[in-house]
Amino acid sequence: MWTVRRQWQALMVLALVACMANLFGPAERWWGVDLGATGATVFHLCLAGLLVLMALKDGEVFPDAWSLAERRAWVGLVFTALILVAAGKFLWVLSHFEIVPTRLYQLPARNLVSFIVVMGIAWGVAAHLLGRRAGPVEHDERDLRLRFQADRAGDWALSLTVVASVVLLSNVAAPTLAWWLQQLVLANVLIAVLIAKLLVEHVALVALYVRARR
Amino acid sequence: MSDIVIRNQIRALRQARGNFTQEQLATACGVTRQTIIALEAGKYSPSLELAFKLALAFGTTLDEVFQYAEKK
Repeated sequence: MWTVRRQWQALMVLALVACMANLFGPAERWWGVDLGATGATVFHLCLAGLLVLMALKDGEVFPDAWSLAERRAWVGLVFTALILVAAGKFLWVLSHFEIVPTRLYQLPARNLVSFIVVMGIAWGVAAHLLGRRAGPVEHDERDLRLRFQADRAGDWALSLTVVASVVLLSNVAAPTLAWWLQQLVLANVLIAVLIAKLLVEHVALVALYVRARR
Repeated sequence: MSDIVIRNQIRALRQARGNFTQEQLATACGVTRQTIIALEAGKYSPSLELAFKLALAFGTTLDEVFQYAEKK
């Protein structure tokens, strides 16, 4: 019989594979199977399974030595990574348009928006489920100290991105950057940069927790 | 980097007080149990405020809980 943690890990791997099939599956059927639609169904089922497992056995899903803040950081890392991948894929789809729409309602963003909404709801439910087992103290000085360092990593990443963008804008010929400077492309890039900053913070936070335990 | 190693007697003091669990100590000091685990393993140097809270929780002085030695 598999342990709860092993069941969790298996569901997690299956969810990630299904999510990639959903986002990057080919338009044509593969051996008669619509990979995109099947991936979406399996992904949502796995997500529901993970949340149910967390609701019933959350004490056994994560190692005992992980604080509530660390558990939330890991959950946040997974969700921000998935949202960033979806946003990146959307930009990639936009790059194949002959003419990029200039109005928001013309953007084919229905899939992206519904994906982000589902991720947001699942993230909120997961955070709530984790919080149920919180003791009298949810965050203490150790968590805050690590959070501060992780935030600094995010600030550095954002600053470097801005500086790199300034260098790029002042050195590259305008026609080369024409596609990137279209209103809605630029708007999506800025949103992706903000999500990337969040991801850097979460990566730094879990790395700091792992390092602090060694 | 720091040339001083801070050691603590938290685990020994806890065991000397019988049933004083990590959970109870954490609650008494207003931190999570994971921070007590990190402190006992020598993986975390607490703030001065937490150090005093720990000493207070054991009813002893700061230098009985924490000691420092220079790195060789």
